Amino acid sequence: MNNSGTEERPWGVGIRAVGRYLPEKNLSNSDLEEILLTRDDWIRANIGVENRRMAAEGEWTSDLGTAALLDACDRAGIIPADVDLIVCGTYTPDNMTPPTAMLVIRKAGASGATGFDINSGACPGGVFALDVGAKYIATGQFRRVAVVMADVSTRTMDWKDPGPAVIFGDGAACYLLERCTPGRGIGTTLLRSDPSGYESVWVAREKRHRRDGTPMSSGFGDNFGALDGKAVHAFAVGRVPGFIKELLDTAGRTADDIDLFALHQANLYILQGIMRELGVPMDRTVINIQKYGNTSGASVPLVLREAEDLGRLSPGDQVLLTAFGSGFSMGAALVRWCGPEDFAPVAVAS
Amino acid sequence: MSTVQSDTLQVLKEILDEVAEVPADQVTLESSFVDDLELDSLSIVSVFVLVQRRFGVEVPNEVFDRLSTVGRAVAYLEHGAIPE
Repeated sequence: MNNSGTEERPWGVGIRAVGRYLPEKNLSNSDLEEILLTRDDWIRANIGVENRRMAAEGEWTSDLGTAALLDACDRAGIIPADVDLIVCGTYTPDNMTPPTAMLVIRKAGASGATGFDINSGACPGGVFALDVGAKYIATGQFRRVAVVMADVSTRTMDWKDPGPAVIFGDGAACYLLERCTPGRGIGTTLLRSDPSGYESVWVAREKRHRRDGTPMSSGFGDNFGALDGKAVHAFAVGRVPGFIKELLDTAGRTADDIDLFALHQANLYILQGIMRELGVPMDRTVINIQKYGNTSGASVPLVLREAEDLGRLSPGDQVLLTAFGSGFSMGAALVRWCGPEDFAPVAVAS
Repeated sequence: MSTVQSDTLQVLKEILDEVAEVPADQVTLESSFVDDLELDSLSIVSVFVLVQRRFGVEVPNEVFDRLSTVGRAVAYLEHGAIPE
């Protein structure tokens, strides 16, 4: 799928603000050594994660998402009631239905907002859900859209399987989207899926038991996060760089034109592999996996926010967002970063 | 094989069963952790975490990466050196 973005439209779709929320509780590799048969030095050498956050007991996806939305609104100088559509990207909804977006609307006080969830496979959501939200701005149907990416991945674990536990962390982020100056904002976007890797990184519905026969359950009952690290690595380093080059070709750009690569934080060595394949030095990306682990769909916007806070994003910069993972799916979007002057006052539908 | 070696092999078999549910009768000194016992890297580190706890011997990453078979692991635990 190809969305060339801004053609024949008197407005662009800009990222007005990026909000974030990370739970207070920190889980270091040393903490994991107490729970699992794993080692800090091995995790650092093979995954690149040193710490990750974990939602508190009773803290759910909607709580993380609400906090990220409030943060985005605060940065934009608006209130949640000024948002007219909330798209929540999650694979760990508070309940199977209604959508988690409903609770975000209620908890944030985004009265009047329409809302729904998108499950685009956890990690790819950082671009897939963004693309959905962007299309509502592009069509003119909504004027201010919050794309809330939130997951409590640690709740999918059985805490006997070190595979997912050493990689994932909980977190949330929120893209606040508005009309912007034409030619700025979200441009060429590519989405692609390949179900041959369906079982490579997934939440499997299955009965699990301890060695003594006692049934195990995750925070989602008989649903457990599971992954085949080798298969994910092969997919990510083997396929994502070519996909990024395809996007750049489509947009008439090269990797040299990109000021910042905002990549999904899957694994430090996957990130290094992708950048190496692209022939781009690591100083043109921002890495935060060592602090937060893989935060699923929140990962790409968390990188953007970190880049912004570090002064690594300026109006006019060409930014390449890439999210990939479960499915397998991958999405990439080229964004011309906006400044405050690119956004006109917005009157949202009441 | 000495009695000590047999004990070491026996404990390794118990660890392999505990970590990866590998039946003891499938484990020989010639068994490769990856090719024969089908352990992934996460399971291998789990094995050596338990080895450290049971034997009191720390096996660094760079060492266990070279202990490709059960026999090499037994020899290392017995003699403290990576077999040639």
